[in-house]
This record gives sequence, C-alpha cells and structure tokens, in this order.
Amino acid sequence: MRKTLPFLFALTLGAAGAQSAQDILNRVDSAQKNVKDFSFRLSGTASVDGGPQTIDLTVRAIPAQGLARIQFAAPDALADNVVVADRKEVRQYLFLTNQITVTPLTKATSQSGLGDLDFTKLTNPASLLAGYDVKLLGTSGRAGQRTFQLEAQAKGGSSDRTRVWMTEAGWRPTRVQLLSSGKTVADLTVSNYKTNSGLSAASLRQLPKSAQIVRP
Amino acid sequence: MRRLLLPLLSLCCAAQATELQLSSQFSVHSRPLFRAELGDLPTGPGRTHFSLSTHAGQIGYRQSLSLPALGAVQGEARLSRPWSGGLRLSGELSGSAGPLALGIGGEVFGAPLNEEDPLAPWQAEARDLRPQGWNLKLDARTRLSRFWTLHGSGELGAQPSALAELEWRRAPREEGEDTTLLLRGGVRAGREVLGLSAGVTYRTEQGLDLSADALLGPQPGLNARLSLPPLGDTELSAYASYEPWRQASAPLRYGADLRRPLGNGALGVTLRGGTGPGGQQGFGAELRYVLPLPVDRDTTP
Repeated sequence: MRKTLPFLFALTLGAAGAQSAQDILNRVDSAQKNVKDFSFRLSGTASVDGGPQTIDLTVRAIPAQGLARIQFAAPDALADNVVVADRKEVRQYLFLTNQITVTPLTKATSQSGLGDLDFTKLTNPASLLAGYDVKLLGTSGRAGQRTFQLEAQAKGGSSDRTRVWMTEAGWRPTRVQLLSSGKTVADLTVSNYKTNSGLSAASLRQLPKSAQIVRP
Repeated sequence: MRRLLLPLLSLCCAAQATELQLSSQFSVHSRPLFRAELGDLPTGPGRTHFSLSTHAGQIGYRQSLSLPALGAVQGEARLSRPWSGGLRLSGELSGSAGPLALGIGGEVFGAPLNEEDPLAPWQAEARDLRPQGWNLKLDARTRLSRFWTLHGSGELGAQPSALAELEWRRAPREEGEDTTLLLRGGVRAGREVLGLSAGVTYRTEQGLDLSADALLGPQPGLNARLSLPPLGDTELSAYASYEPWRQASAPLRYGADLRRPLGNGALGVTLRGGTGPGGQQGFGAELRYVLPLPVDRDTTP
C-alpha cells in the first residue's frame, strides 16, 4: 500500500498514451488539464502483517483544489472510515469512535499512517513520479483498446516495485500490483473510473456532523 | 485576576485557533457564576487552557496524535481549585487503532463538582457528585466485523458497575451512504444495578443524530439524545436521562444547547436541569460567547 497509493494517484490523475514509458508520463501532465474531478474504486487483496487482507476503497478528487476523499469499505477494521485531505489539513472520520481528527498537513505527512504518501502531491503527478523510475513492460490488445503495463521502482535501490495496467480506452488504470522482493504483496483492481462527473468540493468534504472533533 | 489575565492574553496572540470564552450561569440554589476562559493555547506539543470564574480557577492540558486512516490517540488532564476549598484533578486517555478503541478516565477530588460548576451535575454524562472521593472509568470497543462491534465499559469508585454490549450496524444501502443505523443490546451489572440494556442510534447525512438507550431491570432507566440538522447557522441539541439506580449522580438530568455564529465568534445558550442525589429539583441556564482570537486561522476549519 505504501508505494502503491502515490504511484496510482499519479497515474490516475492523467492519461498515458504512447510507446515508451516516458511518452506515457509526458502525456500524463497534459491530459490532466482536462480533468476537473475523478473517482474510482480500488479493490483486491493485500498482505498486511503476513496475512491477506481485503482492500476496498473509493477515491474521489478535485485536482485543481488539491482536494481528495478516500472512503474505506474494507478491511473491516477500516470500513466506513473516511480521509479528506486538502492543501491545509487532513481530516479523518473514525467510524468506531464517531470522531473526526483534524491534523494540519505539515504534521499529517510527517506522522502519516500511509507511510510516505504526501497529500500535497496527491494531485501533482509530476512531483509524485519524480521519485520513481518507470518503464513499459508490455502492451496487449488491438489499436484503440491497448493496455500498457507499466512498472515503477523507487529511485534509491529499493526492491519494491509497482505495476500498473493502463487502458488506452479512456486512458485509465485498470489494475495495480505491488511487489516486494519479487513477491506480490498487493493485487488491486481499479473499477468505476469516472472523470468530470461534476463532483462538488462540499460533497467531498462532507463528514458526519454528529462526530466529536479531535484537534491536535 | 487582572494580573494573571494580561500576560495570558499577550501570550495568546502568537497562537493558532486560540479562543476566548466568556460565560455566565444562573441557577436556582446557587449564586451566579461568571467565567473567562482562554482555550487551545499551544504549549509544547499540546494545548493548554486556563479558566477563572467567580467559583473556581482551572488549568488543563491536552494533546492528541492522529494516525491517518488508522486511528488517533488523545490525552487530557485538568486541575481545578474551587474558591470554597479543596482541589479536583481529572484525566483521560483514549486511543484507537484499526478495529480497537480503548479509553480510561478518572477523577480524584476533595471538593464537590457543583462548587466548581453549578450546572455540571445535570450534563448528559452522569457525574460523581460526592464531596470527595475518586472514580475510574474504562471503556473498550472492538470491531468484530464491519457490522458487529463489541463494547465493554466499567465504572469504579462511588458505585462500581460494568456494561457489556453487542452493537449491530445496518449495511449502507449504497456506497458512500452516510446514514447510519445502530442497534445494541447487552447487560449492565454492578452494585445496586442489574438489567438488560437496549439502544438505538440513527444518524443522517443532514446532521440529525438521535440515540436512545434503555435499561430494563428492577430499576429501569432511559437515556436519550437528539441533535438536529443545522437550521441555517443555528445548531440545536437536547438530552434527557433518568437513571434512578445511580447513587452518587443526579438520577434525572435534562438539557438543551443552542449555538450560532454572532459577530466574529459564536453565541451559546445552555439550559440544564434535574434532581440532585437527595431528590431536590433544580435548573439553570448558561450564556456564553466564544471568540477565536485574531491569529492565523489556517488550522481552523
């Protein structure tokens, strides 16, 4: 999860479209200009602390405002929790305790439970991908329906790799795989991918009003 | 008082989201209370608050840590000195991580609560009204699955008791639905109390929050709380509790709260009433104004 999320966010924010990984990444930035909002569901399995866990979450974002909302449906321990991040702060709703914690972004990124996911870069693919070497592993399907399989490896000699399948039809990711030391630790499907569906900032920020607010 | 407040006010202006609260309370059986409180003053890794009133002086410190997507930990300690004598010390520590939430809180006191705050005995949560003593509350919540939660809590001190409940949550009808229905049932047992508990909570996206809990046994009890969806800028909530089995707390407690923006701050009106442990009826009102001090408001939503 740690490496998957940033990389996936980067790719889903734009589109890819050519023969080399670099071509694809160059198109990511330009295509992103047309995306006012996007949403997708990420589901599959990941091994956490040795055991397989079901992962199911929905991401909604408005890149121009740096606003993102992640809503968990699985694993059970995180189900119905919501994380809302913007350029100022990270708000998280904890279903179990009916609390909302508010953390200034500067603090949230340094103590983030999502590892090195930097929320400020969530909507800036170029800066997110700056830390990765990305190559094109393969292409399948016929023209117009091709799927590109990309692999990203963090610069600095880490053996962790992230594989992302991008479909030419709609330029969206369809699958993400996370490998650590050659073993698949997460295999997630991207579904229900939508762009420019008119998401409002208010709906992304909405959290249960009855929740107790916990400030740092 | 002036000598103490002035340095505090000058300190506050380097702070974030620090607020000044002025309040007054009027109640039967008690002289009026006037209070000035400086809250959320950044102090090291946490926040401090100071309050001075015609009844008591109080200092408190709290700190919290958020672990995005996983949970949060927070702690708070308070020391108050009623001018009529004695000290009250209280503290809480709670945290949650993934499917588990734990909390512990306690009080040690040599002065009764109503000497510090005459309306506090009738707040929604049952409070220990003895003139001196200690109490400890423990709370644990674990999520067995997405739809089932096990809840246990215990009270030690004035009247030891324990509660064990199983809570069911209705599945969201669609992804992202924010309406929640919870049903729970269990057992409460302790000194002079034994019964089955049953409760319901209903929360809507618009902000309606209703919950009711009943104790069915030799001495039945009922707790209910209601928060209405915001009416324009105005927030309204009310509660009522009838717990005749409680020996050290007010058995009947009820109240209503209103909060709305006014000028740069917010106006709050609170009505509370109930009976004391001796059976005498009482009620009162509090009027307060909370003013965020003009500092960097970036962290204030």
